[in-house]
Amino acid sequence: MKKIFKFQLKDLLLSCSIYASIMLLLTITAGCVTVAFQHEDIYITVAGNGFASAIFCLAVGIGMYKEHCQMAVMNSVSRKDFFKSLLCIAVIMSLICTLIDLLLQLLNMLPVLNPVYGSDFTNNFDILKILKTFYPGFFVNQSAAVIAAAGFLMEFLIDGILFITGVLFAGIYCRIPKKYRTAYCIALPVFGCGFLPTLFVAIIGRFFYPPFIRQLINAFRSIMGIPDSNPFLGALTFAAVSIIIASICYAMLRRTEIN
Amino acid sequence: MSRIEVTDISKTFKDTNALTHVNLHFEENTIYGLLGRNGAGKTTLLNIINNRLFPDSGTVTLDGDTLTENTAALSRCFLTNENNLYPESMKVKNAFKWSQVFYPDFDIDYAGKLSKLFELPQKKKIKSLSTGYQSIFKNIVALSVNVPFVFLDEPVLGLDAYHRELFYKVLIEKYAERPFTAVISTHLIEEAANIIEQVIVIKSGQIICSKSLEELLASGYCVSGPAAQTDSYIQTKNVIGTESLGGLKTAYILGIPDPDMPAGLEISRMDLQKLFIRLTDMPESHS
Repeated sequence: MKKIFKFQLKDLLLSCSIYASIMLLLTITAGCVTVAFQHEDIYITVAGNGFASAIFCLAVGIGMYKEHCQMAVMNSVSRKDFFKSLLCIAVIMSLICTLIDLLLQLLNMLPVLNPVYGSDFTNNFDILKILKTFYPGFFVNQSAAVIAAAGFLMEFLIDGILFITGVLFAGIYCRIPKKYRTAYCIALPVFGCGFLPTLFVAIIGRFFYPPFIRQLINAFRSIMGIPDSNPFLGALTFAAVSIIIASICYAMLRRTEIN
Repeated sequence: MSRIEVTDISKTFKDTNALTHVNLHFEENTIYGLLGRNGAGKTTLLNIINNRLFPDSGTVTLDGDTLTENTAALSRCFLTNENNLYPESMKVKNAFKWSQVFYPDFDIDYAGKLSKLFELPQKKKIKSLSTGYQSIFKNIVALSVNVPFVFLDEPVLGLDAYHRELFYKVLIEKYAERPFTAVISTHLIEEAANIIEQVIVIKSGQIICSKSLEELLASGYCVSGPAAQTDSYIQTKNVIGTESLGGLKTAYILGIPDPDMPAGLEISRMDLQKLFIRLTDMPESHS
Protein backbone atom coordinates (compact mmCIF):
# COMPACT_ATOMS: atom_id res chain seq x y z
CA MET A 1 0.00 0.00 0.00
CA LYS A 2 2.89 2.35 0.81
CA LYS A 3 4.06 2.49 -2.81
CA ILE A 4 0.75 3.59 -4.33
CA PHE A 5 0.18 5.91 -1.38
CA LYS A 6 3.51 7.61 -2.10
CA PHE A 7 2.51 8.01 -5.75
CA GLN A 8 -0.92 9.40 -4.91
CA LEU A 9 0.40 11.70 -2.22
CA LYS A 10 2.95 13.26 -4.56
CA ASP A 11 0.26 13.89 -7.17
CA LEU A 12 -2.09 15.29 -4.52
CA LEU A 13 0.48 17.64 -3.05
CA LEU A 14 1.27 18.98 -6.50
CA SER A 15 -2.39 19.71 -7.26
CA CYS A 16 -3.01 21.20 -3.80
CA SER A 17 0.02 23.49 -4.05
CA ILE A 18 -1.17 24.77 -7.46
CA TYR A 19 -4.69 25.35 -6.10
CA ALA A 20 -3.42 27.10 -2.95
CA SER A 21 -1.07 29.30 -5.00
CA ILE A 22 -3.91 30.40 -7.30
CA MET A 23 -6.27 31.17 -4.42
CA LEU A 24 -3.58 32.96 -2.47
CA LEU A 25 -2.60 34.99 -5.51
CA LEU A 26 -6.22 35.95 -6.19
CA THR A 27 -6.80 37.03 -2.59
CA ILE A 28 -3.58 39.02 -2.35
CA THR A 29 -4.06 40.61 -5.78
CA ALA A 30 -7.61 41.70 -4.90
CA GLY A 31 -6.39 43.13 -1.60
CA CYS A 32 -3.43 44.93 -3.18
CA VAL A 33 -5.62 46.45 -5.93
CA THR A 34 -8.09 47.67 -3.32
CA VAL A 35 -5.30 49.17 -1.19
CA ALA A 36 -3.62 50.79 -4.20
CA PHE A 37 -6.76 52.30 -5.73
CA GLN A 38 -9.01 52.97 -2.74
CA HIS A 39 -8.58 56.76 -3.16
CA GLU A 40 -10.17 56.33 -6.61
CA ASP A 41 -13.11 54.39 -5.17
CA ILE A 42 -12.01 51.11 -6.75
CA TYR A 43 -12.68 48.14 -4.46
CA ILE A 44 -12.08 44.52 -5.37
CA THR A 45 -12.94 41.53 -3.24
CA VAL A 46 -12.72 37.89 -4.20
CA ALA A 47 -16.25 36.52 -4.04
CA GLY A 48 -17.48 32.98 -4.15
CA ASN A 49 -14.39 31.19 -2.91
CA GLY A 50 -16.16 29.95 0.21
CA PHE A 51 -16.86 26.59 -1.36
CA ALA A 52 -13.95 26.58 -3.77
CA SER A 53 -12.10 23.99 -1.69
CA ALA A 54 -15.13 21.70 -1.62
CA ILE A 55 -15.54 21.91 -5.39
CA PHE A 56 -11.79 21.39 -5.80
CA CYS A 57 -12.06 18.20 -3.71
CA LEU A 58 -14.86 16.92 -5.95
CA ALA A 59 -12.85 17.68 -9.08
CA VAL A 60 -9.70 16.00 -7.72
CA GLY A 61 -11.72 12.94 -6.69
CA ILE A 62 -13.12 12.64 -10.21
CA GLY A 63 -9.78 13.35 -11.89
CA MET A 64 -7.43 11.15 -9.92
CA TYR A 65 -9.44 7.93 -9.68
CA LYS A 66 -9.05 6.45 -13.15
CA GLU A 67 -5.37 7.23 -13.70
CA HIS A 68 -4.34 6.19 -10.21
CA CYS A 69 -6.39 3.01 -10.32
CA GLN A 70 -4.80 2.04 -13.64
CA MET A 71 -1.34 2.91 -12.33
CA ALA A 72 -1.94 0.78 -9.23
CA VAL A 73 -3.24 -2.28 -11.06
CA MET A 74 -0.54 -1.99 -13.73
CA ASN A 75 2.13 -1.98 -11.05
CA SER A 76 0.81 -5.08 -9.28
CA VAL A 77 -1.02 -3.29 -6.45
CA SER A 78 -4.26 -4.98 -5.45
CA ARG A 79 -7.49 -3.01 -5.61
CA LYS A 80 -7.86 -3.44 -1.85
CA ASP A 81 -4.50 -1.77 -1.18
CA PHE A 82 -5.35 0.96 -3.68
CA PHE A 83 -8.61 1.63 -1.85
CA LYS A 84 -6.84 1.84 1.52
CA SER A 85 -4.45 4.37 0.02
CA LEU A 86 -7.39 6.26 -1.49
CA LEU A 87 -9.02 6.59 1.94
CA CYS A 88 -5.81 7.97 3.44
CA ILE A 89 -5.60 10.42 0.54
CA ALA A 90 -9.23 11.50 1.14
CA VAL A 91 -8.42 12.36 4.76
CA ILE A 92 -5.21 14.23 3.84
CA MET A 93 -6.93 16.04 0.97
CA SER A 94 -9.80 17.21 3.18
CA LEU A 95 -7.38 18.34 5.86
CA ILE A 96 -5.22 20.30 3.43
CA CYS A 97 -8.23 21.95 1.76
CA THR A 98 -9.76 22.88 5.12
CA LEU A 99 -6.45 24.42 6.17
CA ILE A 100 -6.17 26.32 2.87
CA ASP A 101 -9.67 27.69 3.35
CA LEU A 102 -8.90 28.66 6.94
CA LEU A 103 -5.78 30.47 5.78
CA LEU A 104 -7.73 32.33 3.09
CA GLN A 105 -10.40 33.32 5.61
CA LEU A 106 -7.74 34.66 7.98
CA LEU A 107 -6.13 36.56 5.09
CA ASN A 108 -9.46 38.07 4.14
CA MET A 109 -9.87 39.32 7.68
CA LEU A 110 -6.61 41.26 7.61
CA PRO A 111 -7.48 44.94 7.81
CA VAL A 112 -4.71 45.77 5.38
CA LEU A 113 -6.33 43.62 2.67
CA ASN A 114 -9.87 44.62 3.54
CA PRO A 115 -9.64 48.31 4.45
CA VAL A 116 -12.99 49.37 3.08
CA TYR A 117 -15.40 47.03 4.84
CA GLY A 118 -13.30 46.05 7.85
CA SER A 119 -12.36 42.64 9.18
CA ASP A 120 -15.97 41.52 9.78
CA PHE A 121 -16.91 41.76 6.16
CA THR A 122 -17.01 38.89 3.79
CA ASN A 123 -19.29 38.42 0.83
CA ASN A 124 -18.47 34.74 0.67
CA PHE A 125 -20.69 31.96 1.88
CA ASP A 126 -18.25 30.20 4.10
CA ILE A 127 -19.11 27.09 6.08
CA LEU A 128 -19.29 29.03 9.35
CA LYS A 129 -21.98 31.31 7.95
CA ILE A 130 -24.03 28.30 6.86
CA LEU A 131 -23.62 26.78 10.30
CA LYS A 132 -24.84 30.01 11.88
CA THR A 133 -28.00 29.83 9.76
CA PHE A 134 -28.81 26.26 10.74
CA TYR A 135 -27.51 26.20 14.31
CA PRO A 136 -28.09 29.72 15.69
CA GLY A 137 -28.34 28.51 19.31
CA PHE A 138 -24.92 26.92 19.12
CA PHE A 139 -23.32 30.24 18.23
CA VAL A 140 -24.97 31.92 21.23
CA ASN A 141 -24.10 29.28 23.82
CA GLN A 142 -20.61 28.14 22.82
CA SER A 143 -17.19 29.73 23.09
CA ALA A 144 -15.34 31.03 20.02
CA ALA A 145 -12.90 28.10 20.18
CA VAL A 146 -15.68 25.48 20.11
CA ILE A 147 -17.44 27.31 17.27
CA ALA A 148 -14.19 27.43 15.28
CA ALA A 149 -13.59 23.73 15.97
CA ALA A 150 -17.12 22.85 14.84
CA GLY A 151 -16.64 24.91 11.66
CA PHE A 152 -13.30 23.20 10.97
CA LEU A 153 -14.78 19.74 11.55
CA MET A 154 -17.77 20.40 9.31
CA GLU A 155 -15.64 21.76 6.49
CA PHE A 156 -13.26 18.81 6.83
CA LEU A 157 -16.16 16.37 6.54
CA ILE A 158 -17.82 18.20 3.65
CA ASP A 159 -14.52 18.23 1.73
CA GLY A 160 -14.11 14.52 2.47
CA ILE A 161 -17.64 13.69 1.31
CA LEU A 162 -17.13 15.61 -1.91
CA PHE A 163 -13.78 13.93 -2.61
CA ILE A 164 -15.29 10.49 -2.08
CA THR A 165 -18.32 11.51 -4.17
CA GLY A 166 -15.93 12.49 -6.97
CA VAL A 167 -14.32 9.06 -6.68
CA LEU A 168 -17.78 7.49 -6.82
CA PHE A 169 -18.71 9.44 -9.97
CA ALA A 170 -15.47 8.39 -11.66
CA GLY A 171 -15.89 4.82 -10.42
CA ILE A 172 -19.37 4.57 -11.93
CA TYR A 173 -18.00 6.02 -15.17
CA CYS A 174 -15.31 3.35 -15.32
CA ARG A 175 -17.73 0.51 -14.59
CA ILE A 176 -20.57 1.37 -16.96
CA PRO A 177 -20.42 0.15 -20.58
CA LYS A 178 -18.75 2.60 -23.00
CA LYS A 179 -21.96 3.27 -24.95
CA TYR A 180 -23.63 4.73 -21.84
CA ARG A 181 -20.71 6.95 -20.80
CA THR A 182 -21.68 10.02 -22.83
CA ALA A 183 -25.24 9.88 -21.52
CA TYR A 184 -23.87 9.53 -17.98
CA CYS A 185 -21.57 12.55 -18.41
CA ILE A 186 -24.50 14.66 -19.61
CA ALA A 187 -27.02 13.36 -17.08
CA LEU A 188 -24.82 13.89 -14.03
CA PRO A 189 -24.44 17.70 -14.24
CA VAL A 190 -28.01 18.09 -15.48
CA PHE A 191 -29.21 16.17 -12.44
CA GLY A 192 -26.83 17.84 -9.96
CA CYS A 193 -26.96 21.41 -11.22
CA GLY A 194 -30.38 21.47 -12.86
CA PHE A 195 -32.85 19.00 -11.47
CA LEU A 196 -31.84 19.02 -7.80
CA PRO A 197 -31.73 22.84 -7.40
CA THR A 198 -35.06 23.12 -9.24
CA LEU A 199 -36.59 20.51 -6.94
CA PHE A 200 -35.13 22.34 -3.94
CA VAL A 201 -36.59 25.67 -5.04
CA ALA A 202 -39.93 24.04 -5.82
CA ILE A 203 -40.08 22.58 -2.32
CA ILE A 204 -38.98 25.82 -0.61
CA GLY A 205 -41.45 27.82 -2.70
CA ARG A 206 -44.11 25.15 -2.10
CA PHE A 207 -44.79 24.73 -5.82
CA PHE A 208 -44.13 21.07 -5.25
CA TYR A 209 -44.97 19.91 -1.79
CA PRO A 210 -46.25 16.33 -1.55
CA PRO A 211 -47.43 15.21 1.92
CA PHE A 212 -44.37 13.10 2.69
CA ILE A 213 -41.97 16.03 2.17
CA ARG A 214 -42.67 17.48 5.62
CA GLN A 215 -41.79 14.16 7.30
CA LEU A 216 -38.69 13.94 5.12
CA ILE A 217 -37.58 17.46 6.02
CA ASN A 218 -38.23 16.82 9.71
CA ALA A 219 -36.24 13.60 9.59
CA PHE A 220 -33.39 15.38 7.84
CA ARG A 221 -33.45 18.19 10.40
CA SER A 222 -33.37 15.66 13.24
CA ILE A 223 -30.41 13.67 11.93
CA MET A 224 -28.56 16.91 11.25
CA GLY A 225 -29.20 18.08 14.84
CA ILE A 226 -30.88 21.31 13.68
CA PRO A 227 -33.77 21.39 16.24
CA ASP A 228 -31.23 20.96 19.10
CA SER A 229 -28.74 23.42 17.51
CA ASN A 230 -26.13 20.66 17.68
CA PRO A 231 -23.71 20.76 14.71
CA PHE A 232 -21.80 17.77 16.08
CA LEU A 233 -24.82 15.57 15.35
CA GLY A 234 -24.67 16.96 11.80
CA ALA A 235 -20.96 16.12 11.71
CA LEU A 236 -21.76 12.58 12.80
CA THR A 237 -24.31 12.30 9.98
CA PHE A 238 -21.72 13.56 7.49
CA ALA A 239 -19.23 11.00 8.78
CA ALA A 240 -21.81 8.24 8.37
CA VAL A 241 -22.61 9.42 4.83
CA SER A 242 -18.86 9.40 4.01
CA ILE A 243 -18.59 5.81 5.21
CA ILE A 244 -21.62 4.77 3.17
CA ILE A 245 -20.30 6.43 -0.02
CA ALA A 246 -16.83 4.94 0.59
CA SER A 247 -18.38 1.48 0.98
CA ILE A 248 -20.21 1.87 -2.34
CA CYS A 249 -16.91 2.99 -3.94
CA TYR A 250 -15.14 -0.11 -2.64
CA ALA A 251 -17.95 -2.39 -3.80
CA MET A 252 -17.46 -0.97 -7.30
CA LEU A 253 -13.68 -0.85 -7.22
CA ARG A 254 -13.18 -4.44 -6.10
CA ARG A 255 -14.66 -5.78 -9.35
CA THR A 256 -13.28 -3.10 -11.66
CA GLU A 257 -11.44 -4.64 -14.59
CA ILE A 258 -8.52 -2.89 -16.27
CA ASN A 259 -7.62 -3.79 -19.82
CA MET B 1 11.50 -23.39 -8.36
CA SER B 2 8.68 -20.85 -8.70
CA ARG B 3 5.70 -21.80 -10.77
CA ILE B 4 2.51 -20.10 -11.92
CA GLU B 5 -0.40 -22.47 -12.07
CA VAL B 6 -3.52 -21.61 -14.05
CA THR B 7 -6.36 -23.93 -13.07
CA ASP B 8 -9.68 -24.27 -14.86
CA ILE B 9 -9.95 -20.60 -15.86
CA SER B 10 -13.08 -19.56 -17.77
CA LYS B 11 -14.06 -16.07 -18.83
CA THR B 12 -17.07 -14.83 -20.75
CA PHE B 13 -17.70 -11.38 -22.24
CA LYS B 14 -21.45 -11.06 -22.78
CA ASP B 15 -22.13 -13.92 -25.20
CA THR B 16 -18.48 -14.58 -26.14
CA ASN B 17 -16.55 -17.35 -24.44
CA ALA B 18 -13.10 -15.79 -24.24
CA LEU B 19 -11.57 -18.64 -22.25
CA THR B 20 -12.97 -22.08 -21.52
CA HIS B 21 -11.52 -24.26 -18.75
CA VAL B 22 -7.91 -23.24 -19.36
CA ASN B 23 -5.28 -25.25 -17.48
CA LEU B 24 -1.56 -24.56 -17.85
CA HIS B 25 1.52 -23.67 -15.89
CA PHE B 26 4.60 -21.50 -16.30
CA GLU B 27 7.90 -22.72 -14.90
CA GLU B 28 10.73 -20.49 -13.73
CA ASN B 29 13.46 -19.32 -16.11
CA THR B 30 11.83 -20.37 -19.36
CA ILE B 31 10.81 -18.42 -22.45
CA TYR B 32 7.27 -19.21 -23.49
CA GLY B 33 5.57 -18.32 -26.73
CA LEU B 34 1.86 -17.82 -26.35
CA LEU B 35 0.48 -18.19 -29.85
CA GLY B 36 -3.04 -17.80 -31.11
CA ARG B 37 -5.00 -16.11 -33.83
CA ASN B 38 -6.77 -12.78 -33.31
CA GLY B 39 -9.44 -13.10 -30.64
CA ALA B 40 -8.15 -16.49 -29.46
CA GLY B 41 -7.98 -15.27 -25.84
CA LYS B 42 -4.23 -14.56 -25.39
CA THR B 43 -4.64 -11.06 -23.96
CA THR B 44 -7.56 -12.11 -21.76
CA LEU B 45 -5.47 -14.95 -20.34
CA LEU B 46 -2.51 -12.66 -19.59
CA ASN B 47 -4.83 -10.04 -18.07
CA ILE B 48 -6.40 -12.64 -15.78
CA ILE B 49 -3.02 -13.97 -14.66
CA ASN B 50 -1.95 -10.43 -13.80
CA ASN B 51 -5.12 -9.50 -11.88
CA ARG B 52 -6.39 -7.00 -14.45
CA LEU B 53 -9.44 -9.06 -15.30
CA PHE B 54 -11.32 -11.43 -13.03
CA PRO B 55 -12.08 -14.97 -14.19
CA ASP B 56 -15.65 -16.25 -14.04
CA SER B 57 -14.25 -19.42 -12.53
CA GLY B 58 -10.88 -21.00 -11.79
CA THR B 59 -7.73 -19.89 -9.99
CA VAL B 60 -4.27 -18.52 -10.74
CA THR B 61 -1.58 -19.22 -8.17
CA LEU B 62 2.10 -18.46 -7.79
CA ASP B 63 3.83 -21.05 -5.63
CA GLY B 64 0.46 -21.92 -4.13
CA ASP B 65 -0.51 -18.32 -3.31
CA THR B 66 -3.36 -16.82 -5.27
CA LEU B 67 -2.40 -14.04 -7.67
CA THR B 68 -5.86 -12.49 -7.56
CA GLU B 69 -5.80 -9.37 -5.38
CA ASN B 70 -2.55 -10.40 -3.71
CA THR B 71 -0.05 -7.54 -3.84
CA ALA B 72 2.84 -9.61 -2.49
CA ALA B 73 2.46 -12.33 -5.13
CA LEU B 74 1.64 -9.87 -7.91
CA SER B 75 4.83 -7.93 -7.25
CA ARG B 76 6.72 -10.95 -8.65
CA CYS B 77 4.99 -10.56 -12.01
CA PHE B 78 4.90 -7.83 -14.61
CA LEU B 79 2.66 -7.51 -17.66
CA THR B 80 3.11 -5.12 -20.51
CA ASN B 81 0.48 -4.88 -23.22
CA GLU B 82 -0.61 -2.56 -25.98
CA ASN B 83 -2.81 -0.39 -23.73
CA ASN B 84 -1.09 2.59 -22.20
CA LEU B 85 -2.16 2.75 -18.58
CA TYR B 86 0.29 5.46 -17.51
CA PRO B 87 -1.11 8.88 -16.48
CA GLU B 88 -1.65 11.35 -19.33
CA SER B 89 1.09 13.73 -18.29
CA MET B 90 3.75 11.23 -17.21
CA LYS B 91 7.14 11.46 -18.89
CA VAL B 92 9.33 8.49 -19.75
CA LYS B 93 11.99 9.31 -17.13
CA ASN B 94 9.32 9.74 -14.43
CA ALA B 95 7.78 6.41 -15.39
CA PHE B 96 11.20 4.80 -14.85
CA LYS B 97 11.49 6.48 -11.45
CA TRP B 98 8.04 5.31 -10.38
CA SER B 99 8.74 1.80 -11.66
CA GLN B 100 11.67 1.77 -9.25
CA VAL B 101 9.29 2.67 -6.41
CA PHE B 102 6.84 -0.10 -7.31
CA TYR B 103 9.51 -2.68 -8.16
CA PRO B 104 12.51 -2.28 -5.85
CA ASP B 105 14.71 -4.40 -8.17
CA PHE B 106 14.00 -2.14 -11.14
CA ASP B 107 17.37 -1.29 -12.70
CA ILE B 108 17.08 2.38 -13.63
CA ASP B 109 20.63 2.50 -15.05
CA TYR B 110 19.87 -0.43 -17.32
CA ALA B 111 16.64 1.28 -18.41
CA GLY B 112 18.64 4.40 -19.24
CA LYS B 113 21.16 2.33 -21.17
CA LEU B 114 18.42 0.65 -23.19
CA SER B 115 16.76 4.02 -23.82
CA LYS B 116 19.98 5.22 -25.43
CA LEU B 117 20.32 2.00 -27.40
CA PHE B 118 16.76 2.26 -28.75
CA GLU B 119 17.00 6.07 -29.04
CA LEU B 120 13.99 6.51 -26.78
CA PRO B 121 13.54 10.19 -25.79
CA GLN B 122 13.30 10.18 -22.00
CA LYS B 123 12.01 13.73 -21.66
CA LYS B 124 8.91 13.12 -23.77
CA LYS B 125 5.48 12.30 -22.40
CA ILE B 126 4.58 8.64 -22.85
CA LYS B 127 1.27 9.48 -24.53
CA SER B 128 3.08 11.59 -27.14
CA LEU B 129 5.33 8.72 -28.25
CA SER B 130 4.59 6.92 -31.50
CA THR B 131 3.13 3.38 -31.33
CA GLY B 132 6.57 1.92 -31.96
CA TYR B 133 8.28 3.98 -29.29
CA GLN B 134 5.48 3.24 -26.82
CA SER B 135 6.21 -0.46 -27.41
CA ILE B 136 9.93 0.19 -26.94
CA PHE B 137 9.26 2.10 -23.71
CA LYS B 138 7.10 -0.71 -22.31
CA ASN B 139 9.65 -3.34 -23.33
CA ILE B 140 12.42 -1.40 -21.59
CA VAL B 141 10.36 -1.26 -18.39
CA ALA B 142 9.61 -4.98 -18.71
CA LEU B 143 13.28 -5.86 -19.19
CA SER B 144 14.38 -3.66 -16.29
CA VAL B 145 11.87 -4.68 -13.59
CA ASN B 146 13.82 -7.81 -12.65
CA VAL B 147 10.90 -9.90 -11.46
CA PRO B 148 10.70 -13.67 -11.93
CA PHE B 149 7.74 -13.59 -14.35
CA VAL B 150 7.46 -11.10 -17.21
CA PHE B 151 4.52 -11.22 -19.60
CA LEU B 152 4.95 -9.45 -22.93
CA ASP B 153 1.76 -9.06 -24.91
CA GLU B 154 2.60 -8.11 -28.51
CA PRO B 155 5.99 -6.62 -27.55
CA VAL B 156 6.98 -5.81 -31.13
CA LEU B 157 3.74 -4.04 -32.06
CA GLY B 158 4.62 -1.13 -34.34
CA LEU B 159 8.38 -1.83 -34.27
CA ASP B 160 10.40 -1.73 -37.47
CA ALA B 161 12.60 -4.68 -38.46
CA TYR B 162 15.74 -3.09 -36.94
CA HIS B 163 14.12 -2.48 -33.56
CA ARG B 164 12.48 -5.91 -33.56
CA GLU B 165 15.83 -7.60 -34.07
CA LEU B 166 17.41 -5.38 -31.43
CA PHE B 167 14.64 -6.21 -28.97
CA TYR B 168 15.09 -9.97 -29.40
CA LYS B 169 18.86 -9.57 -29.04
CA VAL B 170 18.51 -7.56 -25.84
CA LEU B 171 15.94 -10.02 -24.49
CA ILE B 172 18.30 -12.95 -25.06
CA GLU B 173 21.23 -11.08 -23.50
CA LYS B 174 19.15 -10.18 -20.47
CA TYR B 175 17.87 -13.75 -20.17
CA ALA B 176 21.43 -15.10 -20.32
CA GLU B 177 22.69 -12.62 -17.77
CA ARG B 178 19.79 -12.87 -15.31
CA PRO B 179 17.32 -15.67 -16.19
CA PHE B 180 13.62 -15.09 -15.73
CA THR B 181 10.38 -16.40 -17.20
CA ALA B 182 9.22 -14.49 -20.25
CA VAL B 183 5.84 -15.21 -21.76
CA ILE B 184 5.70 -13.67 -25.22
CA SER B 185 2.42 -13.34 -26.99
CA THR B 186 3.00 -12.46 -30.62
CA HIS B 187 1.77 -12.82 -34.16
CA LEU B 188 5.27 -12.68 -35.63
CA ILE B 189 5.97 -16.34 -35.02
CA GLU B 190 8.92 -16.76 -37.36
CA GLU B 191 10.93 -14.11 -35.49
CA ALA B 192 10.00 -15.30 -32.01
CA ALA B 193 10.61 -18.95 -32.91
CA ASN B 194 14.35 -18.44 -32.48
CA ILE B 195 14.04 -17.59 -28.80
CA ILE B 196 11.01 -19.59 -27.66
CA GLU B 197 11.61 -22.70 -25.55
CA GLN B 198 8.02 -23.68 -24.79
CA VAL B 199 5.04 -23.17 -27.06
CA ILE B 200 1.47 -22.68 -25.92
CA VAL B 201 -1.14 -22.54 -28.67
CA ILE B 202 -4.53 -21.14 -27.80
CA LYS B 203 -7.54 -21.45 -30.06
CA SER B 204 -11.04 -20.13 -29.38
CA GLY B 205 -10.27 -19.79 -25.68
CA GLN B 206 -8.86 -23.29 -25.27
CA ILE B 207 -5.27 -24.50 -24.99
CA ILE B 208 -4.76 -26.90 -27.88
CA CYS B 209 -1.04 -27.41 -27.44
CA SER B 210 1.52 -26.86 -24.69
CA LYS B 211 4.88 -28.44 -25.52
CA SER B 212 8.54 -27.63 -25.85
CA LEU B 213 9.46 -26.19 -29.24
CA GLU B 214 11.61 -29.19 -30.11
CA GLU B 215 8.90 -31.63 -29.14
CA LEU B 216 6.32 -29.71 -31.13
CA LEU B 217 8.43 -29.46 -34.26
CA ALA B 218 9.35 -33.15 -33.99
CA SER B 219 5.67 -34.07 -33.84
CA GLY B 220 5.26 -33.48 -37.54
CA TYR B 221 6.99 -33.13 -40.88
CA CYS B 222 6.41 -31.81 -44.39
CA VAL B 223 6.31 -33.92 -47.52
CA SER B 224 6.54 -32.30 -50.92
CA GLY B 225 6.67 -33.57 -54.43
CA PRO B 226 4.50 -34.17 -57.49
CA ALA B 227 0.82 -33.91 -56.56
CA ALA B 228 -0.14 -37.46 -57.54
CA GLN B 229 2.73 -39.03 -55.57
CA THR B 230 2.10 -36.82 -52.55
CA ASP B 231 -1.61 -37.66 -52.55
CA SER B 232 -0.85 -41.33 -52.72
CA TYR B 233 1.65 -41.09 -49.82
CA ILE B 234 -0.58 -39.09 -47.47
CA GLN B 235 -3.63 -41.34 -47.82
CA THR B 236 -2.84 -43.22 -44.62
CA LYS B 237 -1.27 -40.29 -42.76
CA ASN B 238 -2.60 -37.78 -40.26
CA VAL B 239 -2.59 -34.77 -42.55
CA ILE B 240 -3.18 -31.40 -40.98
CA GLY B 241 -2.99 -29.42 -44.19
CA THR B 242 -1.87 -29.26 -47.80
CA GLU B 243 -0.64 -26.60 -50.18
CA SER B 244 -0.48 -26.85 -53.96
CA LEU B 245 1.59 -24.83 -56.38
CA GLY B 246 1.38 -25.84 -60.03
CA GLY B 247 1.96 -29.57 -60.17
CA LEU B 248 3.71 -29.64 -56.82
CA LYS B 249 2.02 -30.37 -53.54
CA THR B 250 3.18 -30.00 -49.96
CA ALA B 251 1.48 -31.88 -47.15
CA TYR B 252 1.83 -31.20 -43.42
CA ILE B 253 1.69 -34.42 -41.52
CA LEU B 254 1.59 -35.24 -37.83
CA GLY B 255 3.73 -38.19 -36.84
CA ILE B 256 7.19 -39.60 -37.56
CA PRO B 257 8.39 -39.84 -41.19
CA ASP B 258 8.76 -43.31 -42.72
CA PRO B 259 12.37 -44.52 -42.96
CA ASP B 260 11.84 -45.49 -46.59
CA MET B 261 10.27 -42.62 -48.44
CA PRO B 262 8.96 -43.14 -51.98
CA ALA B 263 11.26 -41.73 -54.63
CA GLY B 264 10.44 -38.22 -55.78
CA LEU B 265 9.12 -37.11 -52.41
CA GLU B 266 11.11 -34.82 -50.19
CA ILE B 267 10.87 -34.58 -46.41
CA SER B 268 11.50 -31.36 -44.58
CA ARG B 269 11.20 -30.18 -40.98
CA MET B 270 7.97 -28.43 -40.13
CA ASP B 271 8.50 -24.83 -39.13
CA LEU B 272 6.64 -23.29 -36.22
CA GLN B 273 4.65 -20.78 -38.23
CA LYS B 274 3.37 -23.40 -40.66
CA LEU B 275 2.54 -25.77 -37.82
CA PHE B 276 0.77 -22.97 -35.98
CA ILE B 277 -1.27 -22.06 -39.05
CA ARG B 278 -2.21 -25.67 -39.59
CA LEU B 279 -3.06 -26.30 -35.94
CA THR B 280 -5.26 -23.24 -35.69
CA ASP B 281 -6.77 -23.91 -39.09
CA MET B 282 -7.95 -27.40 -38.25
CA PRO B 283 -11.58 -28.04 -37.30
CA GLU B 284 -12.30 -28.24 -33.56
CA SER B 285 -12.53 -32.08 -33.59
CA HIS B 286 -9.01 -32.41 -35.07
CA SER B 287 -7.27 -29.97 -32.73
